[in-house]
Amino acid sequence: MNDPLMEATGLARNFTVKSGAFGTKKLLRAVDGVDLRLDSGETLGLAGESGCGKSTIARLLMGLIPPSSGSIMFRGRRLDQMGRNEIFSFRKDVQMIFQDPFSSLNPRMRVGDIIGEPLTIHGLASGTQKQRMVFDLMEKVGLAKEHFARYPHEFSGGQRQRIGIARALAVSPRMIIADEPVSALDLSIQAQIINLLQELKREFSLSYLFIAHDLSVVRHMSDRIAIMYLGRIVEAGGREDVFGRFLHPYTEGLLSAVPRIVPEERKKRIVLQGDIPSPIDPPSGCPFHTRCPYVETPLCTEATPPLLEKEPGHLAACHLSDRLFR
Amino acid sequence: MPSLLKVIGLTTSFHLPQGIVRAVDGVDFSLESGETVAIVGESGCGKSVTAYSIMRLVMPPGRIESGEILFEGRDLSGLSEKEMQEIRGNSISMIFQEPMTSLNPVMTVGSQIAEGLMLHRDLSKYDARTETIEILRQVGIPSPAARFADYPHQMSGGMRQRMVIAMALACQPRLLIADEPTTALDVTIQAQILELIDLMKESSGMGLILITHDLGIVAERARHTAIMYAGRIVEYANTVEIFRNPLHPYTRGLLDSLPQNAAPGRPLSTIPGHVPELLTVPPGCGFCDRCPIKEWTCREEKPVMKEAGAGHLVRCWKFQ
Repeated sequence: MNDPLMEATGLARNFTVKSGAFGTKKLLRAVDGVDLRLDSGETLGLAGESGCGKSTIARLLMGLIPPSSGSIMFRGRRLDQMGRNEIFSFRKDVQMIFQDPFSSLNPRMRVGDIIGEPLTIHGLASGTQKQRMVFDLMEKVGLAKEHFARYPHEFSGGQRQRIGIARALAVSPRMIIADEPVSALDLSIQAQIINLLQELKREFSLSYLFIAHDLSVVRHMSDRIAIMYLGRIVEAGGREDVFGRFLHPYTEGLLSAVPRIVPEERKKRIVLQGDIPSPIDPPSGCPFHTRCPYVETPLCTEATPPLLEKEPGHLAACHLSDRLFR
Repeated sequence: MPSLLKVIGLTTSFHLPQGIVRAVDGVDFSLESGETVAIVGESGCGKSVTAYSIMRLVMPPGRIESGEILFEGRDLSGLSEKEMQEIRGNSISMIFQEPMTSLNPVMTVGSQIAEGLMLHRDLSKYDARTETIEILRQVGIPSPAARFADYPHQMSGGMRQRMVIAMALACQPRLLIADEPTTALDVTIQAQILELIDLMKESSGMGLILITHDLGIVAERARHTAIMYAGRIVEYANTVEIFRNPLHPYTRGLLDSLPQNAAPGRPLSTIPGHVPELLTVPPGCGFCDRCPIKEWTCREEKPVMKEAGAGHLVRCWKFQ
């Protein structure tokens, strides 16, 4: 087994939110005890619906916000014990690609300067050398040389996403956290960006944490997949394990909800009832029990199921998975 | 008996300082009661403007230039605003993408729904309230009498979209236009809402125009599918036929680029280039700059819709 590139143990993050007319403070558990590992050269897909904590995990792993508890290790070093210089090189090694190619680029900067800025900040290049590197990067991501002096508003969504990717690549990172990188793009552009990310991964031996809600995209990109629900991982495993031999009723419902593109093949669908509960006041016991078609009281409503390895490398957090899916 | 809806040669333009943008350029299609037609395309292809044109909701600088919109045989394009108001929300309703912006934030949801009933069906306040609670029950709102007095911000996205559907269906429209009704929702909530729309359609026999960019939703829900590109319908057929035997190079490109149609991790097939700016669409076929099979005629001359098989229409020089 490889040494993990990044590993999170017992990761949790709470936010205090004010609610109601009197501004009563309440605790929102955005991420609630998550274990993750990402090996070198691997893509880990993180999927789940809105509010499940995917983006909070991205911000925690980037070191943008500190965890409430738990630890994050990067190449064997704890993030919260790194010194100034270590943090600086961590910020070079881990880069991020954002969902919205409109708000993640400075509208007053030229494209060439956007891509070159990280090189300056990390003192990697300057002058003509920097310019040459920026031209190289632009070519790698499929931008033309004449785009160097243009401004972001002159570009379409897909091309802006290419600019964001070039900026992330500029400092030769080891790992890229991509938070919904294609979900704002048109269908015919989505495939171009997915292919680009795959090519770059091979060429620069990158590791990706790939966050998306579109399961077909997650499946295409990822080697391993973790499914999240209300701040917890409910199932994790290899791509085919999770998609083909799922062990959690939420994964089953999520997969069943995805419309199929073969019109004849309209299977009996499991429509999950009800809404996603609020993470401010999560259900007792298994967080999924309010929507689970197989719920058994009092087992599921009282005891929180731990995430257990049910098969080699395939984990699930469900009391009933052995009975339901095997 | 005339068709429920027949759109002929609909052309809608926006007169901008930079020039005239033809957002919808000669769109034809028809729809029968109880049927679903899907209009599919990427951003800027004109699918929403088509819907807004049918509802006569295109605002300046936009303008319907020409074409007929025959609703049960009556041309909507010639009606006055007052006559249109009697149709809108009554016999034709629309559901918008973002449920928050189509609800009034300072009015309880119940009174918003009841408002339409009082206006179009002349119900008293009391009767409208009773009727509204019944509709809320039908769209699957738990404890509808209590929810009547809630404000939109007190609800989740899925609940709000149910409210919007309740409002659209309150007056039992004969035609419902749903513009990306589930795009803002999570996938498990999307499944609930689509089931609900289908259920309501089956029980009332209304016609449904489903506007979406999601080919999976189309495959599962629509009887006929129109693929739009750069303001024109480029292919129209029975949905099964479109997916089994796509003819237009754009339709083929779209289907081939789906991750579902590729082995995991393998490169996806792509359509080169990007969606054209409508100001610079070539005079001929709008897709020619990205097309793998283009010929010299494509750029210069506009292809027309041709029947390439039974009920299968395609707008491509290869089939002229």
